[in-house]
Amino acid sequence: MDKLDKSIKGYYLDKRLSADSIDRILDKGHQVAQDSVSEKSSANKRRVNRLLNVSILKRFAARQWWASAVAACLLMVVLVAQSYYFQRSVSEMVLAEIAMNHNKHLDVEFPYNDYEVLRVAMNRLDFSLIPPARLPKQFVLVGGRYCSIQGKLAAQLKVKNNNTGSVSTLYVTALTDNLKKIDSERLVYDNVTIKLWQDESHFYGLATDA
Amino acid sequence: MTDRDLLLAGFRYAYSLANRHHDAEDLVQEAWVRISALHGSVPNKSLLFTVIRNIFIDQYRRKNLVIIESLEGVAEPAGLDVELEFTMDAEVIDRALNQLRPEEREAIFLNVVEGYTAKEIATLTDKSRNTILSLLHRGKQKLVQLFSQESSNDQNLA
Repeated sequence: MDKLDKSIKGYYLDKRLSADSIDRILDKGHQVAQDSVSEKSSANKRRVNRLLNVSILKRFAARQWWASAVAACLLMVVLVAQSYYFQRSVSEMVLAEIAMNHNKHLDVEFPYNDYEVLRVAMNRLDFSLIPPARLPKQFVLVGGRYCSIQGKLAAQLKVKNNNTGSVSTLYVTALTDNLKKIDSERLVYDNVTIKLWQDESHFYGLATDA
Repeated sequence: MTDRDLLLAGFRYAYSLANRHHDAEDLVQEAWVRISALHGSVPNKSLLFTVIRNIFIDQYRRKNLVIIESLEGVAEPAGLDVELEFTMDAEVIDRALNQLRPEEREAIFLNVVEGYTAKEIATLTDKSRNTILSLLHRGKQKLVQLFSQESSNDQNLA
């Protein structure tokens, strides 16, 4: 069998690729190897970039979430503060107006001690002038004159406390959206004790010397 | 072993499977390119042979050309210690090898040309050692018979 094996071996060893074929295959191998390396490198870069982008996006999203939360909180604080300030400022302006008018001690223009008569007399008012339900009974009407509260026409009524004999000023005007925001309260402003309240359609302010 | 030597070894192995120059060249080129793309270079002969073999099997599967011949019940060759009294030129060997199945040519090539043992061939081809021994025996027996036949034909013609 030595001869058979030698013959077979010789036969196969004679099988050769041409030099061109060898060069072509080797070149192709080098080329795909380089392409593969650069592709792997690009793929790695893409992967890294993707991961970085995801990471950046996540961080950005996290930051954005925090920023949104902080912004929302700030906005809420601003709105609450603004609302509070606005409310306080309206309230304070009303108080200042009432105190100033009260301190002027102006005489009444319509000296009627009956609400029905006074309402007819003060016909420019755009609200009905009726005895306020929450005004204590000891306060009796003396008369009235026109004034304004927050730019709206109002009635400035003089009422006398029958128990003490002191004269107070009752301010009445139609209830507006701004005035609705003023809480019922009693406080002293510019040496005047002022009690504020409202009913369904009227805003009231009772000013008495403190 | 240089790349050129490795490439030639791969080509010869591919030739043992395909038994055609052009097909063998295609096989070795595809295997070489695939390995280069994966590893950057062709590291060793074993990997090259394995990839060539896999590509060859895939191609045969696609063409439905796999010939499965059971080794069971095949009589063991009577003996291979026959002295060949005739000359074997490349053309005769080519014709004879063409009559063998690819597995037989492969086993003979790996054993005779590459010097692999039956066990090494079994490992490379994922077959049992006994199967490889049978393939070697049967392949060589067929070759002896074919060569004898060729020789007697030549004598008759003379």
